[in-house]
Amino acid sequence: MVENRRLLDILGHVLMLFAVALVVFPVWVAFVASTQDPAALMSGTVPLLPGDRLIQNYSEMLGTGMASAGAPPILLMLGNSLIMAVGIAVGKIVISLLAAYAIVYFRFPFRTLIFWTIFITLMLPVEVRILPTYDVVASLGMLDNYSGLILPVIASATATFLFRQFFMTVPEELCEAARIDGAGPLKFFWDILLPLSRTNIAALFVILFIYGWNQYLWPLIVTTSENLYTIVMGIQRLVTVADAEPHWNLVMATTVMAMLPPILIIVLMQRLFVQGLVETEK
Amino acid sequence: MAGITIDGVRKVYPNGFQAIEDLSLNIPDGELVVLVGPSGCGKSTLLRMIAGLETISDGDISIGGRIVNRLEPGERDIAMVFQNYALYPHMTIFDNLAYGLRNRKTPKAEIKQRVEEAVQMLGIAHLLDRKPRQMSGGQRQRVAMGRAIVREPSVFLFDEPLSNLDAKLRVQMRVEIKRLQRQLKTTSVYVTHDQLEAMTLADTLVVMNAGRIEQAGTPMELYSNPATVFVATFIGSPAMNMLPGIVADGFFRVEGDAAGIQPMSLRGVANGPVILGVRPEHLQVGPAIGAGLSGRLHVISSEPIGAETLVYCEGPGSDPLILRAAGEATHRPGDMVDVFAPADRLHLFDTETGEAKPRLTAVQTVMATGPQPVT
Ligand SMILES: Nc1ncnc2c1ncn2[C@@H]1O[C@H](COP(=O)(O)OP(=O)(O)OP(=O)(O)O)[C@@H](O)[C@H]1O
Ligand SMILES: [Mg+2]
Repeated sequence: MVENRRLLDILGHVLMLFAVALVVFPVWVAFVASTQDPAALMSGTVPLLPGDRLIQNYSEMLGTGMASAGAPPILLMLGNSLIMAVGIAVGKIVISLLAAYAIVYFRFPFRTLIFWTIFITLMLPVEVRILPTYDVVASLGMLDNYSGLILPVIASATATFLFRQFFMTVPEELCEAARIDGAGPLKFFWDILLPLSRTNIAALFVILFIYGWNQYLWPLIVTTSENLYTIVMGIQRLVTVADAEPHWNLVMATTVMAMLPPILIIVLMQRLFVQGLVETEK
Repeated sequence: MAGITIDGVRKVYPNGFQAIEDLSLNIPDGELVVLVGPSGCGKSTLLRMIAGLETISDGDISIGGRIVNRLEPGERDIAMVFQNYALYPHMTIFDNLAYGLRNRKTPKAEIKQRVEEAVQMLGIAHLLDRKPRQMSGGQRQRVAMGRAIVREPSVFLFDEPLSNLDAKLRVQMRVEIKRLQRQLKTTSVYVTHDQLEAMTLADTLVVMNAGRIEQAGTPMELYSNPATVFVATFIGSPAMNMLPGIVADGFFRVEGDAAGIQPMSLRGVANGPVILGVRPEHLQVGPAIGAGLSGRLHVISSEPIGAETLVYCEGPGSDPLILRAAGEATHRPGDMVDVFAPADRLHLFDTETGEAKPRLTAVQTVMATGPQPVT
């Protein structure tokens, strides 16, 4: 029996290691490629060990970008992506918190209807809405600026739905106790509901930040100025460079840097929401 | 400090259900009123209307002479203790207690002082930095009490505050609540369906049934002179024995098979059906002494519970007749016992309305000399 268990243990670990390797491998290849000189990647075989051009490749992309491919410096694009992603994540959270608060805690006519209307928009894929949205944004004069990048995607049925579900699990007595303690609707929201939603907000922020960071289609459509290019668009531009082999080493350097902020966000926020999950309070 | 006046109050829920119908009650300043009644009778509804958590469909509620119908809970100068305590989970105990005061812009130093006084009073001073989840049920209960006390409101409202505690703690907290209420002299309304809690806490006990007040009075008044069959069976445990019967020719006879209960001479009561009630503790084992209800009953079972023994006897109807005997009593199933209840311990109720008739006096039930009725 004991022998058997050991064997199973080993087998399990091997399996898990394999799975991890499978996930990590492409990332490793990207990293390795970003440290090579262009020639090393043309030969057809992909090297598996880092080369010697790490600093050179990265500083080149960060500082000057690649004018031949029409890509501004990466630092600029990273900045744009950051503004867009944070804007989208924060905006979605604020709006859906307020919407969910209204739907759960206030009695008004057509309350259920309104909720279901919001819910139904979940069923519409972004692509379906994109032309009318573009039209609206264009006529509001929001093309080619940050508000055009952020505002049209700021409403979130998913987040509204999640907050609604969470608010409905908060015992009604808490709201009543707060009312008796003389807290009005805004005070209750700010002092009690918001702190209780901390964990949910942190988790959603991570998800929505990555969602915002990875936006591709929408920024592509509403921006024409290079100053507003986001990093994901930039990668695409580097790859589709006309009449030449893409500089894979530089593309990969860009990709690796594009990955870093979301990873950073996950690592930072994870502490918050794991801690939150452990001390379940309600 | 303020009394509460409830005047012709009705509550109709949005779905059309009438939870309270035309209810009036006056609660004098400083008194502790306990609302009891079966589940769903509208106790919480009434309490929540006083608190301002439910709208009032009709009638007026005033606190300290001020009509509060349209005031927010926070403006009514009340504090409420909830069954599940409803402490703010993310706040420390200090903040939980201070929250209401802060919302009222009480100066910091005063908040600190009041919170400290309250936690001293409740013996939770060492817990001030904890969060609710780091405390036991009993401690949370105290914090919930504390949150009510620091506010120094003119009315305390309690909705089954002790029902989540174990039996021993419940007794302890009950005594504590009584002590605090006596000390603070704050008008209080307390909802429970624990009889013992109701009897021991109440200055005035209000028995509710189906959205109405059945009877209000001191606990002993309700126990000794229940106004209806409902109150009679609701107050007291085990419940009062009820014997439906008929008054005719100056005698009371139980309906159907008498099961050994003697007809009882009864004068001054109109002929017709009545219900005779007698509490288990007033049904004594032994021969008839003077006027009253007597009989010879068949013992079904007996439950010794220490200080007393509950003896279940075969009754006229389907329910057994229960009597309280001394702790050492040794009645076995199958035994026959002579039982007797003196006339002044008997209750008569109208069969139709369930309302109590005037209490009997010994004179009414003294056996007329002459031939005994044949049973
Ligand atoms: N929001 C509501 N909508 C419709 N009916 C309700 C609502 N709240 C309570 N009721 C009904 O009103 C009646 C009284 O309810 P209430 O909560 O006051 O009872 P209670 O006496 O406190 O009972 P319990 O001892 O079980 O707590 C019940 O029949 C209940 O079903
Ligand atoms: Mg209730």
